[in-house]
Amino acid sequence: MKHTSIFFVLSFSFFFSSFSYAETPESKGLKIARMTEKANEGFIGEESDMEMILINAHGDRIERKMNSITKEIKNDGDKSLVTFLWPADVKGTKMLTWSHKEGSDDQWLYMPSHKRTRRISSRSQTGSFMASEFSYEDLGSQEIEKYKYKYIRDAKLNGRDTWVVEAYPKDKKSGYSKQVIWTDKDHKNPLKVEYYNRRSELLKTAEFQNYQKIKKWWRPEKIEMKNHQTKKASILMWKNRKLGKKFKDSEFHQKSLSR
Amino acid sequence: MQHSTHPFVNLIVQRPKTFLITGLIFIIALGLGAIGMKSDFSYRIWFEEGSDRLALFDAFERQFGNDESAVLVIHSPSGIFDKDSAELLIKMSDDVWKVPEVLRVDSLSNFNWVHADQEELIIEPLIPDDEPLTDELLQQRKEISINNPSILNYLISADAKTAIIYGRLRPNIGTKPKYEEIVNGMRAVVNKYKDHTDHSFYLTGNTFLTHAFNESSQRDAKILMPLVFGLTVVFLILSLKNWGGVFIPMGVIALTVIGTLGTVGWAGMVLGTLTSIVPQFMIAVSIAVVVHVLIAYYQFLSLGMEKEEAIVLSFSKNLRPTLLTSISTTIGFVSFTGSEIPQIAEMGAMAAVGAFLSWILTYWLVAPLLVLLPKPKKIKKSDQSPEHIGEPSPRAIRYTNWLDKYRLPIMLFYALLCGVSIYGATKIEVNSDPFEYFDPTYSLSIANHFMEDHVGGSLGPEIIVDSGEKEGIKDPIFLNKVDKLQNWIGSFEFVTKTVSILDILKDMNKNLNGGAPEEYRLAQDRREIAEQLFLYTMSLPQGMDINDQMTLENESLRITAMWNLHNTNRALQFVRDVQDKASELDLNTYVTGKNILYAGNNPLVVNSFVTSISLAIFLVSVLLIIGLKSFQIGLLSLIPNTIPLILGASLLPIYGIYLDIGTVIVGSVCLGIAVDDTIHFLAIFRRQIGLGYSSKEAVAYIMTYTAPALFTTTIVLVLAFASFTLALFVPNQNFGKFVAIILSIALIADLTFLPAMVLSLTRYRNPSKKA
Repeated sequence: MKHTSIFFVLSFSFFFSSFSYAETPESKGLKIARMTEKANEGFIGEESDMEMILINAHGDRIERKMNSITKEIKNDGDKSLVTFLWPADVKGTKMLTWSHKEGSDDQWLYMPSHKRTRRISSRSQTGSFMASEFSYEDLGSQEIEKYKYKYIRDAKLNGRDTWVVEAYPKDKKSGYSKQVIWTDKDHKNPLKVEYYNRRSELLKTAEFQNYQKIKKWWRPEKIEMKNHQTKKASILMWKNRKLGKKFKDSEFHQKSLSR
Repeated sequence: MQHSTHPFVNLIVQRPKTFLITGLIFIIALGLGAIGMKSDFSYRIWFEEGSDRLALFDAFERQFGNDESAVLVIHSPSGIFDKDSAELLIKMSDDVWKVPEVLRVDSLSNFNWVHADQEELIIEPLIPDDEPLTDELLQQRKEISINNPSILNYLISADAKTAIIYGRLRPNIGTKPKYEEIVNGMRAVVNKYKDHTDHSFYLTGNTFLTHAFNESSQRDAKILMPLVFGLTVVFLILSLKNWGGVFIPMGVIALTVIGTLGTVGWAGMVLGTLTSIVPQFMIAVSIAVVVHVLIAYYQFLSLGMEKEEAIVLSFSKNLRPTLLTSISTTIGFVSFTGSEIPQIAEMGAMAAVGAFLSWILTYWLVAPLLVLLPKPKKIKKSDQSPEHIGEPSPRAIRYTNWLDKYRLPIMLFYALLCGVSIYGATKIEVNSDPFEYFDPTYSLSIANHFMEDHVGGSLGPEIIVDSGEKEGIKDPIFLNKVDKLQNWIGSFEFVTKTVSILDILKDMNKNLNGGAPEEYRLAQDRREIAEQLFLYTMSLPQGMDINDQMTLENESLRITAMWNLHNTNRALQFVRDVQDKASELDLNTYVTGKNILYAGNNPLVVNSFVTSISLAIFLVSVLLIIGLKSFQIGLLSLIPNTIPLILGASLLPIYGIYLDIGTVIVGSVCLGIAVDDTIHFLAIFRRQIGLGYSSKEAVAYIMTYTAPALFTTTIVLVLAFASFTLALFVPNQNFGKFVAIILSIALIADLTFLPAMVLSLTRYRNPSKKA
């Protein structure tokens, strides 16, 4: 399970490569992906309050609230800790994730009623994140190596100039055949992503709204994910976001969960 | 002999072009309605929109989503847990992902197997595709599968030889799934593998059930249409002995069918499983009028009459009897229009329009057409008048004497037969289960029977339990009661499996407490339950919805029972039993599901039968009283027509056939058709009496000259309806079979009981033959 970067969605924690290629659509696509990666790195640590709204096909909605902290790790995936605040009866449940560049992530869950921390091993990345329309795959670290890119065209989206790039997952276990990403030319972050299922039908659309510049990084305050097949939707919102925060390693240790 | 002419017919003959053109405009306008005609084979066409039952089911689907699925069953004689079968299962599961509209695939290969290892919770697919499938691993997974209540009889059979892959369809809100594409996609998956393996494959699920309604209708139309059509042509050639004459009735049939379908379009009705066979029986039913008229026309021509005169006379002579018989047939169908089962009501309305339309078209179009067409050349001259074709044949006289002598024993025989039959008819059972709706040779029936024999029931009721408050289902007191209810439901011998969120909670509790089997139980602390549910939602696979087990605000949950029960009366009893048990446990429940919806049609089937047959009997007797201008004869003529209905009804339980949406129609339809023979019989009888013949002479005359015609028309109808037994849709089969049986009995009764009765009644007031 990878969900590290729900706190800085679709951000990248890798070194920028300055190799230049001849401008084929593939190389241009890759270049744009690297620009996004570059634009998001170096944030050190992040803290925010999050709210998730699940909306079913009939418009009924429920809320979940959580607090999250993330520490940027050089040369590997980030470490993150989510503390659930709402619904009230799961308040205090914590999830710690160490994402990795290679191999499965490490994950621990602390359940207050059991007063025990459990390690969770899962090989599935197509699973949904807390029954929302976001899957772990959408929220997990979008490492450049995991995709093949292809630049398609320039486009205007909501009055902003964007590059439209297609990303094809290399992993056969991916739930998608393709993603189409609209990347803002100015702040280099995605404004919209379309997800295509294994039959190459449009499955979901994510819209990234209200980008704010926090220090030197751009972060959306809201992502709305619509599932076109189930007609359900999920909204993720961030509040009190702080970037550049320095966290101790010990805060991301499984033994710290029960504290 | 002087023949009377009818002013209406005279008018038509005088202004043939006007009538022909207006008639054509009328039928074209009517037929245009067919362009916008819609077809619908979904479950909804069997239920009245706005009814409480449908509202309850809609409420259920709104809360829990609709769980339409396409089910692929894989049977391996050597067991599923060998390398060959496991690999096949993985490949086929992957292929089902690519079938149109499939949102999620559930199979052993991607079942999220959660298990505990000390302080670690491991979630992994039960049959992995990224590890070598060793015998050791597979053997271990086999043990896990058949011991896991969430998997057993769901994804794997108890003997581990049959695995099931579910392709869950995406919800279609306000639209319908494209069943055809899904079915073709699933069939393509099977075809890809079936020739390369000794495994056998079966396809089922509600997707296939809905498609079967459509597919069987199309296939039945394809088989029955030409058959009924062919029979009709043979009949026309035999009865008209004139090739040119064959085309006119065919035209009437074609226009009747077009006009009937047009009415469907104009009226905003939809063509469904039951209504789509109407065109087939329209062919058989609509031919009678035009044939009667044409036979008379050719007879008059053969007497050397001029064309116009022959037309006027033949149409005038038949105006009254054909109008009567058309109305009686129409009544048979009209009697269903009040049914609370929309398909039956629409079938009635459609066929009623068609039955009467054939009469209208015969007079409006055929009469002017004959005026405008040149006179047929090959009509043989005959010296005999059709009214005086001669004396009764010696055989008819002998038969009439026999009838007269034994008239009382004959009537007594029928009375006894009816007495026994009424007793037999009390054994009739009502059933509305769609499980047996398709011929046993049809792939879906084979698949369903295989599923029931090897895995368990694939359909069943949904029991919704409402905790009465938000987040209420996390209350251990409530859950303990639900657990009791679920166990009680599972204890019925026809229930093969029950599924609810409780199974997941128990499994979660086990895994969070070291994995010991005795920990497979509900946690007794609200917070613990809440966290377990939370953990479950965090490990849901893609496309899987937690709200298919419980409502969004955790207020209600659902227990799904799978059963092999096909007795819908028992199903309705089950619903009442659950309500009783729930109030005993102080739980607030309701029971629904498609099975229960169908079962709920039982009382409506009975209602449809009772109201339609009462209405038909009433209207037909009014018609007979008016038509035969005698209260007494009108009512008495009902007797020979109710006898076949009673005899036919007694045959239902003997054949093991239920009163269902197919057989429910038989009674009124048969009454409407069978009474035609009685009308013809009595009309001629009265005419002969009026001409001064004795009743015996009149009967002998009928046996000589009318009986063969009645015989031929009935045979054609019997054969046409008997051909329905070739249908895939079992209610069509039974409908055809019983209409054929009852019409045959009706003919026999008209030629034995009816004359015996008439001879008894007129015995003491025989007028002597006029000088």
